[in-house]
This record gives sequence, C-alpha cells and structure tokens, in this order.
Amino acid sequence: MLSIRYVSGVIAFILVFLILTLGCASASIEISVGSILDQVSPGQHVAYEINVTASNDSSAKDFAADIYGFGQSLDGSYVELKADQDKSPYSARAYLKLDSKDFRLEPGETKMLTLEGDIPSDVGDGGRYAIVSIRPPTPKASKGVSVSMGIIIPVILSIKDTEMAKTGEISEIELDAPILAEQQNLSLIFNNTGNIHYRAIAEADLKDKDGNVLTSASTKPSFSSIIPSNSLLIKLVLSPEKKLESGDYTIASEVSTEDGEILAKKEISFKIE
Amino acid sequence: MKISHYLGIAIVLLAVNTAMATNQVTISADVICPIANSLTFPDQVLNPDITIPNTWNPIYTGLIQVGGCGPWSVSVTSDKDDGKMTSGALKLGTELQVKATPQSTGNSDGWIVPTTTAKRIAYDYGNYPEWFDGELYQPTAFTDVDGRYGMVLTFTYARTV
Repeated sequence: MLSIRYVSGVIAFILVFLILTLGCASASIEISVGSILDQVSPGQHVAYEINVTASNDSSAKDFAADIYGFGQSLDGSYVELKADQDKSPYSARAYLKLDSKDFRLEPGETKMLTLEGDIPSDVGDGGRYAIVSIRPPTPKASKGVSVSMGIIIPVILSIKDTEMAKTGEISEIELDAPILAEQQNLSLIFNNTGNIHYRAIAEADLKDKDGNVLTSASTKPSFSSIIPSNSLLIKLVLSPEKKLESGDYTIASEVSTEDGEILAKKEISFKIE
Repeated sequence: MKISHYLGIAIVLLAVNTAMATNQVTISADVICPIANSLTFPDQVLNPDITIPNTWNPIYTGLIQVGGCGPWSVSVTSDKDDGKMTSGALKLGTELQVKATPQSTGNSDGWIVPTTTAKRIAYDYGNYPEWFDGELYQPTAFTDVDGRYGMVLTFTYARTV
C-alpha cells in the first residue's frame, strides 16, 4: 500500500511539472513548400501546389494568402510589394495567381493552394520573381503584447535558354564618422543591375599614399541572394595592425559573386590628421 | 513531509519561476523541416504574457529559440508605425534576444511622432551568425479608446534563396 507521503510527493511533483511547463505545448502549421525555384520557357503554363496543414492539436485558424512583388530592404530581408509598389521589370507577380486567398483551417485539415500562370511569350531574359505570403488576417492589438506569424515563400523562375546577366554597381561608399586611426568602418550599398539573382562577397583593402596594402577585410557570401533591381548594405571593418599615422589613405573595395566574378569596384580616400 | 509542504514548495517554485520571467519572455519559434523544402512552425506564444504598463522605458527581454533547416530568415515587425529595432546576434540553434521597450516618442499632448516601422531581420545561416536587431522601442502612448496599451509583433519567416 502506497504511503500518503509517497502519493503526496508524486502529486506535488506533477503540480510543479505542470506549472513549469504550462504554455510550452503548442500547435503547429506545416507548409509543404519552403521556396519555389523553377526553370520555365516563354509561353509555358506553370502550376505549383502549396499545402498548408494545421496540426491536430491546433484550434481553427484563418489565413490570408496573396502574391506580391519581390522586394528587399537594404538588410536583405524580403519585402512584399503590392501592385502599385512593384516596378521591377523582373517581377512575375502580374502573371501568377493563387486559386484561394482567404481560407480557414480546422484542426488536422490541409488546404492546397495552387499557384499558376502563363509565362508571357515575350518574357525576356533572366529571372522572374514573386513572393507568396501566407499569414493570419491583419492582427489587432489587445492589451499587452501579442504575436503573429507570417510565412513568405520566395518564387524564382529562371527563363530557359536566355542570357543570365550578373552585373552590379557600388552606388554608395562611405566611412563612418569620425574616421579613426585605429579602425575604419566602411559601408557599401551594392545594387544588382543584372537580370538574375546572386549572392555577393565584398572585399576592401586599406592602402597608404604609396599604394601599400596595410590591411584587408572581406565578407562571407551574403546570407541571401540579391534580387535584380534591389540593393544590399554591406559593412566592412578594417583594423590596421598599427594605428594610422597622419597622412592620406585610400580604401579600395570590390564586390564579386561567389564564383569570384568581380562585379564592381569603388574607392574612397580619407585623411588622418 | 505533509502534502501541504510539497504544495508550499510548488508555490515557491512557481513564484521563483514567475519572478525570473518577469522581464524574460520566451517566444516559441522553432522551425523544423519534416521533408526537404517544407517547413513547420509551432504556434508562437509569449510566455509569460507581456503587459505594457503606463510607465516610461520598461524593458522586456524575449528569447526566440531558433534552429534547424537553415538558411531561413525571420523579420520582426510591429503593428505600430513608430517603433524601431536595433541589433543583437543570432546563430543557428541559439537563442535570439528581443527587447521590447515601451518608450514614448510622443509630445507632451501624447501625440505620436511617426518615425519608421519597426522591422529587423535575423538570419539562420548555419555556422554563419548574422546580426539581429532585436530592440523594439514602443511608444507608451499607443492606447485604444479604452486606454489600453497593446501591440502585435509579427514574425515573418522565409527560406532564403
């Protein structure tokens, strides 16, 4: 026979466990497609299925799905561009459509969305881009802080047998002020002027007035590709071994693809008093 | 020990747990990949709930547990127009810190001076940690008609390409 001490201990343990884990259990939503990457031909009809599934332990949820232009902010994050904001010649938004935009998922239910469209016969070269966004209807704040979740599915369609132009330019180069003798913080804004996406790598050399390289810095490939017509802010920190003496200096920067193809170069000069 | 002793211990543990979590919230945001190119997101919950008080500059620190199937990105936006985010760090499988700092940007009449939409992004890039800006300044002056303070943080996930 179990003692009252044992039973009470077990009950207390269960209580403590429940208290400490309260709120940790959560339902989930599964998206069958993380991204859509395809090669297509002019005039081709395309169709892609996206299954959205609610777990059995979830409550019923409402969702709104839509197609947007593929924008990026300077930090590389994806931005959903509405029709009046989507000015890119490389947008696929206008010729893709979703068969369902507002839907409700009951526990355990799967909703299949179909993204389809016809690639124009005169679509041109390079890549075409869009974003499928799936999120709850516009959240409304209640007392305190609440959280909402959205999912973006990148859509990248490469036009077969066309020229994929990887080009770019450094539109801005500047050093953080005040310019220090110990360390120089360089900022570049790099624009993808080509017609296809790619990841970029930046390098910079700090040179004295005689052209001697005092130190160099480089980045790893950008976390995400730069979509055509978008820009990325790249930061580099140059730390010479010795504090710079008074004089004139130059920082030569360049941006290349992961394959080592140099896309753009730009220099900036500065003086240490 | 009697059962009341155990219950007493449980209550004390609860109090300690709550006290430790007062300024420390957990935002559940695990992402898993059941099959290639698919993603599963648990419902996100704030644990414990954050209540925005009518005071200046209280700071909340939230933790998002991230991991699995990178690269993907998460951006955080506020439903208010005048918040802003600054930076922190994120690495695959580590915790992401988010600070929600109610802070008035209004004038003495309580009107809001619009700045920028709160938005920052964190990158799960395998062994390549990226900076995450996770400090959210939220005006205290945002109230509804009943004088309640509230905001919605939206976490948007995307697999990076």
